[in-house]
Amino acid sequence: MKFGGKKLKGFTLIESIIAIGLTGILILIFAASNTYISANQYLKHKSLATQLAEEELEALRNVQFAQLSNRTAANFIEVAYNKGVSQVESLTGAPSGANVYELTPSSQSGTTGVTSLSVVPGFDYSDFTVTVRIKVPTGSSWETGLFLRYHDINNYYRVYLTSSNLYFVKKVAGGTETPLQPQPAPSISAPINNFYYLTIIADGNNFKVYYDTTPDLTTPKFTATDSDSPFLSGRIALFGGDSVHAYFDDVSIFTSSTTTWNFDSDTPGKIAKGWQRFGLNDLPGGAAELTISDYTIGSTTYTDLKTIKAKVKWNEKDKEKSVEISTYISKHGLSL
Amino acid sequence: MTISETLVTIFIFCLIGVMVVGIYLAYDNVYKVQIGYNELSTNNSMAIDKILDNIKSATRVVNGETTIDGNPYTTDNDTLVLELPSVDSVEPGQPQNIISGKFDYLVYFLDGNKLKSDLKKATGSARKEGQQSVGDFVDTLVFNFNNIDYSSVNKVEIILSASKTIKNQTLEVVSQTTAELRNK
Repeated sequence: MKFGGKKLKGFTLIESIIAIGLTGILILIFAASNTYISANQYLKHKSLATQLAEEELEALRNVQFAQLSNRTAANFIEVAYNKGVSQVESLTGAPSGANVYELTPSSQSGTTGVTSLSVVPGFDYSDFTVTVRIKVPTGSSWETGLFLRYHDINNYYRVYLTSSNLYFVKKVAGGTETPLQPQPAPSISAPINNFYYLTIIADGNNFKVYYDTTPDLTTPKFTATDSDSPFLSGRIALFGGDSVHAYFDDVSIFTSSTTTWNFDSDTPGKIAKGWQRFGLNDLPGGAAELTISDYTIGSTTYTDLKTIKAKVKWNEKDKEKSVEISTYISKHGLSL
Repeated sequence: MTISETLVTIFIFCLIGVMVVGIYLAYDNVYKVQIGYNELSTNNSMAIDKILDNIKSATRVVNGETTIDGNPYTTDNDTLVLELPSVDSVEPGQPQNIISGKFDYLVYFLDGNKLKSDLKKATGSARKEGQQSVGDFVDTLVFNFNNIDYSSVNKVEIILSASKTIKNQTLEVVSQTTAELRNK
């Protein structure tokens, strides 16, 4: 470039300003996009956390007052969450139609214990017969079966089979596990890579368990009775433990009417219609804290009025975020 | 400026132009997707809040068929029929009194991708009769109950799944909550 007959080297001021301006615009657009995505992600998680906390407070209103014992930063109660990833899959050899329901653990649900749960839509069931067809294609250490009368992750019955060819009925109450099946646990044969029928008849505090390649209900494999404050109703959920990858099909619940899910009208790769629900596992590092205390004003404590705080925590870019909602529940029915 | 300098200048200018336009389009895409999410979330929240309020004030979940304006409705896992105490006012900020012994019947149901309500009111009730749109883009509406006998239900769980396709991307927002019938 020449200026006043003299050849100039490098950039002019104008050129530099334009270059800096363009770079600035690029950085601004990128930063705005990034901020927008982050802000929306945070708001999405906050909305989810708020719904979970509100759901917990509402669920507590249906709990007997005596059960609202004081506790600090305990697990949420009386909400049956899903866990892991459940979706419809098209499977060669599916027992009916083309589709089955697949349970797999998510990265958030750990590798041991209860790694997958999918709550069957509908009702809190009391007395019922439930039949499912289950297949575990591979794996050397797994558990799979059903949760019955599922209230929350610390209160339910679990009927399940293991890779050691044993089957169990366990009661989990307040997080403490008690076996209800005969001892030692009855054995079964080769549950791998075949669809088996698992049928349970729940009648009051008695359970009859059937497991076979045919839906034979003449003789139960065993019976179990819970004589210690049994759970008399609750949700039913498909269960996978110890990172099992399991297929379920023809889920049928018989009460005064019959409801069956064969998943054949559902879209493979999606959650079955009506089975969508979310829980703490849908939040990155999601955790819940329930605090119940007697209402106190000044030095006076009221044992017939509880202060309830439901807190949901999650991680947002390695920073802990939380939502806390509180309410009061009165022994005498009036609550805020 | 030589021809090669001109060509290099044009090339750099085009390159920067493509980058600016590319980043702008990416930003626009993100913006529209996020707006879509916000729209679905807001729709779901408003719908859920309305349903929640009515469940809380209901006297019971109706068991059996209810006919409103010639349309029969029965409570099941995607239809909810509620019995509400009739009220003498629905104006915000105005006192609202229950009309003793009279009830309105409110239904929530899915009509295609629209979540709708339908209401049959008792004589003297101030509630607005007829169908109303409660939410859009709804794929799935699920009601779960705490008893298989609807006449014994006192807790209802609502799961609402809404979706929308924006820029070939399907967005889905699921909302979930539980409400206890306070007047049962």
